[in-house]
Amino acid sequence: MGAFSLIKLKRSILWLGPRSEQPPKALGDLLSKVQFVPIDSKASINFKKHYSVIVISIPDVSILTEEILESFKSLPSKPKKFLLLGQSQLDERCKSLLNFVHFHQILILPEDGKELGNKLEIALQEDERNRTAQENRKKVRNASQALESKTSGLENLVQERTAHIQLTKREIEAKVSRVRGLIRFLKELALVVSVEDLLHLLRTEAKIFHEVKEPLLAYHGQGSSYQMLFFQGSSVLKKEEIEAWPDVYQIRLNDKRDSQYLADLYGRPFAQVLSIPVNIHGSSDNKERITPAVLYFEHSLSEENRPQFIEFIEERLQPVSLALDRVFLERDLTEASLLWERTFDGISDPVAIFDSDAKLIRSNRAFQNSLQGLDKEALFHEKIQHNSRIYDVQTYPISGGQDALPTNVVIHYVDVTVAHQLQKQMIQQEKMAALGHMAGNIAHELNNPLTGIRSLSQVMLQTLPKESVVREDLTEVEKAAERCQNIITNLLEFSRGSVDKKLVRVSVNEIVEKTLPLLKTVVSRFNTQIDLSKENVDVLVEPQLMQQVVFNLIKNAAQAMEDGGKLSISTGTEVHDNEQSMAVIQIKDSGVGISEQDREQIFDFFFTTKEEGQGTGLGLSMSRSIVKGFGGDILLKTEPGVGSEFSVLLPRQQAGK
Amino acid sequence: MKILIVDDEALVRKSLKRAAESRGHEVFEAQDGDEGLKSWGELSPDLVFLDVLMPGLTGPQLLQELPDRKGAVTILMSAYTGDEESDGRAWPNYDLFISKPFENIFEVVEKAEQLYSEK
Repeated sequence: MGAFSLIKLKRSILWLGPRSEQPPKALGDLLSKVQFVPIDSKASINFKKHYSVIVISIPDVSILTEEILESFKSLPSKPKKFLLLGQSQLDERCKSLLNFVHFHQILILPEDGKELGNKLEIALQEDERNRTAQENRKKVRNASQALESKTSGLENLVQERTAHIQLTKREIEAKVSRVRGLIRFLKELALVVSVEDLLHLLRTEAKIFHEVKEPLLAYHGQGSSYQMLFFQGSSVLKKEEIEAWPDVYQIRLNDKRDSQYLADLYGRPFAQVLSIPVNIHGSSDNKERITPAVLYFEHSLSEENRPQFIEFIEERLQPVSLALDRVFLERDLTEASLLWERTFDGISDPVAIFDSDAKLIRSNRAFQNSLQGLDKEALFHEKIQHNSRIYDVQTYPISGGQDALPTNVVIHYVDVTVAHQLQKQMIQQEKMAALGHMAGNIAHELNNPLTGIRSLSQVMLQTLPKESVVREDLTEVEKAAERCQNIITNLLEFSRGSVDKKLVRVSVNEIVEKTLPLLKTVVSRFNTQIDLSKENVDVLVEPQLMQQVVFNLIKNAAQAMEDGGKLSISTGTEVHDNEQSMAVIQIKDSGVGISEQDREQIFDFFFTTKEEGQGTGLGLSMSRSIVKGFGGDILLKTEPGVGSEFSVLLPRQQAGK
Repeated sequence: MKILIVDDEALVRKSLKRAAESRGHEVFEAQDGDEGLKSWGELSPDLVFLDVLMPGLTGPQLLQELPDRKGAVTILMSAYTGDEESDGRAWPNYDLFISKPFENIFEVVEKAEQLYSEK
């Protein structure tokens, strides 16, 4: 609006005419807009000033000089031009004027001032409209231009954005693939169970960098030793007891200390080395506070590829250190577990752990060797006899916590076999000592009257006449007394054993002969055959102990038979594999025999098939240990239902020795 | 010779006496240690058969009472028990030990005669 009013103000009418012909008063208000410029004056007209309408008034053609005509040539073309002529007849000058100035209207004077004013007013308004329209067009054009420029800006923006998005997409794709790679790496890392595995994985992982060689890993081994893992071909080797590495606190590239360190270690130059410290949390006991593990990459990376590789490593460093941590921890655990197991297995007594349902959880080697096959229920008895061993069963509950009920039990099967053997031997010795003591007393009490009986018989035989019928009777009495005497002597020797354990050279026949009288009632129940060696077969033994052995074997044979069975006792010699001549005492019965499964055990302590009160099971084991003490052995041949034959073998003493 | 038999077993005394008398010796009996000590003092025998274990004084204890044995040859007798300590052989002051039962009573008397003649 302001602009319009300004234009309105500025726009005016230029009136060119002779000085004598001023614009008519009839123009009224319009006059204020008229600028009168006399054309006959020498004053120059500033046509540059904007005019809306130009009026050229020429009342007399004569005033039109060449000069004036010339000046009209520079009239602006735009404003509407009115020509006021004093005469209707156009002369040459007017015609030439009309030739180069385009007039809107040509009016012939005298023109009515009012009408002229109207025409001028119309022309002015038209000009105004034109101008406004022009202004508007200009505005529209400007707006259009602005719009155009804006549109093109938007297009640029879209292009820019598109490019950016494409770039971002590529970046994201790269990122996704990197993350995928990382995830795959992490997955594989989770499967790593040893340091060697880890090194293999790192090598595979770093293969995409062609300028990077196989990795090396220095780390703390057991104790305070340092170790280095490295590749030779496709296998990982280990250098033990190496020098400590130069401390590395962050990833460093081509440090001389590292190159030097590796060169010293491998005896070859290491030009470019990337050193990566791997921190392990579990290594807090590391007193020397040296970096617990260092990963080395020998490389020939170009300047521009280095950051990429370092970034690649940095991304994987933490998972790697965690994996290494785990591997070491597992190794320590495994070793601790192994140590425990070795300790467990090292215990010579069977030990087993059961849960609350009596299910076997763990057992040591001794258990597996000795008690594995045993009936489950038997495993919880207070005492177990199995495979000729005796175990005291001691149970220790394992409690989960202070108030928790015991969940497992540790059972210690204390092998008391030897203790039992010693105890039973002691009991046996005490038994024999008591028997010896009693036999001594009895011998003394019996020997006195026996002496009298025998001696008196001898005296009476001496004094009786040769033909007396009593003689024979007395002889029987004397002989009976002698037999009693022998029995007592044998009993004494049998029960006493020798105090000083002296080995005595004695014939096997004598051993049998001295033993038999003690078993007369036993032997008399059977069909007994005694077949003693004709030649003298001597052995070096403690006769009393050997008598006990033979006594035992005969008694066993008797117990294996019904009355009337056949009992054979014989002595002789036998030549053995090593060509050593052995003395043999053989006791054979026609009894029940010994079943196959019992055969293994009959020489074991406390093994017995006899009914209660019949035997302790001590006899055969003791007998064998006595015989073995003299360098011999007891052998068994048996057939169930047919009988058994026990052979006592003893090294024979050669005559004259 | 004059023989004293100290033994609590009547059969032993009787058989020894018979055997010795059959060979012409004079024989006296005592049935325990105390009586033996008394008889030994009164009779002053040439030879004494002395049992070890008896009621009252034992043989060795009796010998302690008579350190000089009054010059008698002394034969200690004991029933065999397999134990030298208890059968009295460990004691001093006797000439011969014979364990009972005797194999032959006449041999015992012969040994006694031999011992006496060697004295």
